[in-house]
Amino acid sequence: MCTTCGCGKTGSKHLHAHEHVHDHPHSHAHDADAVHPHVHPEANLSILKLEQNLLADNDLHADENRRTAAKHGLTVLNLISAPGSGKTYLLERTLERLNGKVSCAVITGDLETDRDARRLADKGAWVHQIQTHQACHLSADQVGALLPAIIAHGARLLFVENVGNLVCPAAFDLGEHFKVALLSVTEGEDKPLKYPGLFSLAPVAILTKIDLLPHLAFDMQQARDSMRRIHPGIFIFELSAQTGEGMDAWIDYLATLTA
Amino acid sequence: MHELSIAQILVEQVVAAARKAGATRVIQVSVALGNLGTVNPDALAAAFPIAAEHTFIAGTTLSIRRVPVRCDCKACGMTTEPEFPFQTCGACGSGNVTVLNGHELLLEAIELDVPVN
Repeated sequence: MCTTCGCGKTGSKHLHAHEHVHDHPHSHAHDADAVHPHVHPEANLSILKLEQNLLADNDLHADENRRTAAKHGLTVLNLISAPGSGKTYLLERTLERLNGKVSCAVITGDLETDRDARRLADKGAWVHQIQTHQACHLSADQVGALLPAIIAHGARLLFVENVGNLVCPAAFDLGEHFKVALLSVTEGEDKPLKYPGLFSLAPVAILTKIDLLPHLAFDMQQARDSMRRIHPGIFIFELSAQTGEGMDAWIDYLATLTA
Repeated sequence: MHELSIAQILVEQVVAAARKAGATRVIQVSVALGNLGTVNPDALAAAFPIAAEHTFIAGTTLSIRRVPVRCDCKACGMTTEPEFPFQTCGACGSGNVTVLNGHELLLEAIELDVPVN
């Protein structure tokens, strides 16, 4: 049987009846004395089934990164959120608390500037800024190119602070052990429902800036319920890196990951 | 926003597959996008002709099939298509499910013009 269309004919190329209408002529340029090899021009059309992952190339890089990291005892977290949800601030406070306890590395991605890398410097971690210029996400090959230096540094925990964007970075596996979705309470409790892609992939979510809750109409329970219906079993941290509320649980969790 | 880079990858894969098959022309490209994926079908449809420009597949039609979320429930045993965007059982509401579909980003098939001899 034909494996392309299941039509019962044999051979790799054969004729199929067409049900669709073409809005273009089946003609082609050739020498005036050329002989057409076929009678009916449509007879050459065939359907080639591919079923191939469009991100296969990136996923191969990502799998390679995961294997390399695992071999060297490095845990990789891919932090994804909208711009301004507090990724960098949380990392600043996190690196300060892990300094001297867990050897950390950070890859931070932005369209422009090395501001984040400068904010995260001098906190005991290996830090590298990627400026993507136009690109709205990091990709696995960019992380892979930095892994040898991170491993040479002896890091046990790598935070990849992705480009601030609630949509695009979720599509690109970087070879992380898992994604962490951040949502600040100022963004509104409806965001997981509006941007479900990331929350469906991230097994861990962090609700940030909870010190601002008294000033907002943010419905914490609705935010939790939405995330848990989009991703049953999602683990949710609720914290304020500013006041330190909820930070102990996050730091303990990170220490456990690298224990 | 990342649809243009996805469209460029799509064009590369189509061109490679069509060349390998000895095609002189590609008439249609069929793609499957899971509803839980992060690729917007309209943006991909807009980006595809731009990515295909100046390649031998320029002018090819892009067909996009949306794939709903489908879950196997370990609690009640049902296979359901839950209300978007949830990954909970559409029958009993349990979160103890295996997600079968909804994250696809696939080049499914291409329709080719292949010379017979």
